[in-house]
Amino acid sequence: MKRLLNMVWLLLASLPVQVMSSSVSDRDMKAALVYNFSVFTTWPETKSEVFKVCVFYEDQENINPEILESKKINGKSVHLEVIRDKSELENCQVLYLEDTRSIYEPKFIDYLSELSLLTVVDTTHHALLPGIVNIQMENKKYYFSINNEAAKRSNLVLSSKLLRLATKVY
Amino acid sequence: MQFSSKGQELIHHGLSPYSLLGRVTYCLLVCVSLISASAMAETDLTEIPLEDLLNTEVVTASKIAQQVSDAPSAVSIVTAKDIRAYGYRTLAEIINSMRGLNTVSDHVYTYMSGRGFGRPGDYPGRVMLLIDGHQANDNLYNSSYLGNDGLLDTELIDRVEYVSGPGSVSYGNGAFYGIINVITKKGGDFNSAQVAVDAGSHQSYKERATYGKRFDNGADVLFSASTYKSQGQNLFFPEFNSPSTNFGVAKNLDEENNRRLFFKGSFQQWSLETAYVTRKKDDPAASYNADFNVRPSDMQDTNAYINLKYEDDLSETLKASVRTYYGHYAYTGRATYGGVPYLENDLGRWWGSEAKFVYTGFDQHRIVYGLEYRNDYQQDFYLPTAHLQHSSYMASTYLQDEYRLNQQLAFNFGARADYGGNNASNISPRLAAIYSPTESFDIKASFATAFRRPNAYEKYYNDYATHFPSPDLQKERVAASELVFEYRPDRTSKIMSSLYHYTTKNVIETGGSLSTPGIEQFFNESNHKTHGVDFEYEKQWNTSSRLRASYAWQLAKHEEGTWIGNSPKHLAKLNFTQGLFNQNLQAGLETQYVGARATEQGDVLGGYVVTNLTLNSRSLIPNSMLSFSIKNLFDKHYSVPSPDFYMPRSFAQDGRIYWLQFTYDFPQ
Repeated sequence: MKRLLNMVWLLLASLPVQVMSSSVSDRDMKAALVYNFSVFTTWPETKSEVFKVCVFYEDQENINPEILESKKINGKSVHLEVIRDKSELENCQVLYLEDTRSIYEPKFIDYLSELSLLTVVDTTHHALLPGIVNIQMENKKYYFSINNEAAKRSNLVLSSKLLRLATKVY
Repeated sequence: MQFSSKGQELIHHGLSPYSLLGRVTYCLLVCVSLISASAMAETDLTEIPLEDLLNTEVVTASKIAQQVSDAPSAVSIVTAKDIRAYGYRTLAEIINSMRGLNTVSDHVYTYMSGRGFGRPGDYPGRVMLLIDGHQANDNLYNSSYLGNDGLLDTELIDRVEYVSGPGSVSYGNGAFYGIINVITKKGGDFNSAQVAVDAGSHQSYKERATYGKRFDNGADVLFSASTYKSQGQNLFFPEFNSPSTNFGVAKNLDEENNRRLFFKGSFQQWSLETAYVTRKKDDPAASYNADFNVRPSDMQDTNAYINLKYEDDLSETLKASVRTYYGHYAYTGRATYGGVPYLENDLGRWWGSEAKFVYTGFDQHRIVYGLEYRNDYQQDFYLPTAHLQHSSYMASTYLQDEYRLNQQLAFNFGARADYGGNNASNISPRLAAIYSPTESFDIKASFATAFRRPNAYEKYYNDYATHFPSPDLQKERVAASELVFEYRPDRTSKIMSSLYHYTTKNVIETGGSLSTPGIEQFFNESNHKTHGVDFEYEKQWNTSSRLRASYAWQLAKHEEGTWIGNSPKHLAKLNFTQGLFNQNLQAGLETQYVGARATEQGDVLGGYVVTNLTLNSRSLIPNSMLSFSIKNLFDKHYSVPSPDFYMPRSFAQDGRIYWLQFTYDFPQ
């Protein structure tokens, strides 16, 4: 009985550990991942003074702007821009996609490949791998794969460190 | 994670967590873990090396669903998660959970009410039903079919959006007080085969088989088939309580069965969707003065559509979609009048095409232009006394501009012109402004009008005895002003309120002052004035704990000041779902309050509260889901106003109902 009580005590005591230790929220993590992917990517020269990470309206809640906007990438201040149409993508360096339904449109993905745009897509809930970087969650942790051919087509150079950490490069 | 490895080390060195020293040490470690975890929360994540970041555990995001429709209106959403959590089996059950909406059943059909209008027996209702953008109402009665006569199994639904307010600017005829927009799942949402068997009270059974797959080349297919059968109840109607009519009991006259098929496929720019349902239901209450408790007394409705769509980008700033569709509706009604059998067959068929263009070439503008032609080439009623054959058409064009002046202010204005000959032509404008003082707060103000042309049944139905036609019926029109507040304090909660005033003219009704007793005929009976306010609050604590609560107050009156029938002033809904036993069980509890409302004859029926409970588990059996629902948990006895073509003035609704569902997903 005492052993049982001790086990209960142990169980109760361990509860807050479980709750607190997983205190990184999904949207903070995505912002941090996008930051890292951007740091390890080289874009063709642009005159823009800000580094734009863009998200469609549907995805604006999926990523934490505060984490990104306090940073500099390639010496430029980061701005997270919420867009409503793909015509607004021209000045973006990164596009984060998750809930935007256009992910399913091959034509849209083809269009993206014509821009010098690093596409980061959360593919946890769909079978396609439409991005240059595709992140996926398993057992509460993220891993990512890289479509380096697509990156080359978009005139982006991904660092060897990024390619090394990817679970798959194709 | 850190602690568990250290804990094991301690045990290895004799410091059992059960000993006093062990406890103290454990406590210290817990504190250290807590501190380090708190520190983690405060750490700048961008400073952590990518390798370590990938090893950091993440709390899965839980967020409330966002609307797909870009209408400047108040939008309520029910998702597939809600459908599972609350065990919704029909569209009517989904609608009953939504802000300000309500349904009533006359034991054959289900009628929806919204924005204060919900006349029982009024087949068209005033809220349009769209399935993946295709208008699903038939072309004789304009019914939406919300019960087991509906086109879709709820398991195929990804989300349902209720957009309150007139929508004729986009959808033309019939988008009168709102739109129910059903979006179905994709094959990729299943990515395997699924079978389900259900059993419920009153000997009800359902079987369903679904196959969905998204292929590597991007093609996506979904196919589903289901059947349903219910023995029903021996219902008692006090109005028929006499020895000649079995003391008011309709014996074995509540049977219902249906069959459904659904296919959806898409590849590159093409998509094809087709749905079919046939449903036969006994009519236990002997509508239109038929003989009571005499077989046959049934109605069979068959609905089908096919919709082929091509979407492409013509340029970087111009997107086009073209679709063409075909719809089919058939009705068979059987009854007995004074011992003489009666058989009616109705047939409706139609096709249409629509081209829609979205242009974003002008800075800060999103312009939508469309053209639609619909030909209802068959609208036939075959009665014993008459064969009535009619047809109609509608040509439409619409133009809308969404102009975003800056981050705070956007305007949405446009109009749709519909031309369908006499009494079926209209111009429906909408003007709206959306002001967002902050990113989390929107104020939407809109003025819109809508119309509904009289349908074939209202205009032409004629049995030369009890029901006469009204070929000169005018269209109904509504003008609505609406103010919507939407506040999203964080990504897990939303507060919404809308305030509205509607003026409806030329409402088409039967049974009013212009009618002759004993004769059914439609007239542009009266004008209505409706105003109301509603509130909705939605909160998601985590993936399994969600709350949705709404309250609507509405007052709908005839122009002369009398309260219109079946228009409750108060409607309140509460939906709460919670994961239990370490998320192995999910409980969904919903409570709905419907305030007092008047019958067609002016009697007032008291309000009622109905509570439903559903438990479901995905972990009891591998690859399976088990769901158990108790509808009307407290067995509340309540009645709803009945249509005027029934002798009873009100109908008692179902008491407690049990429903069990077992779903099995074949491994991929």
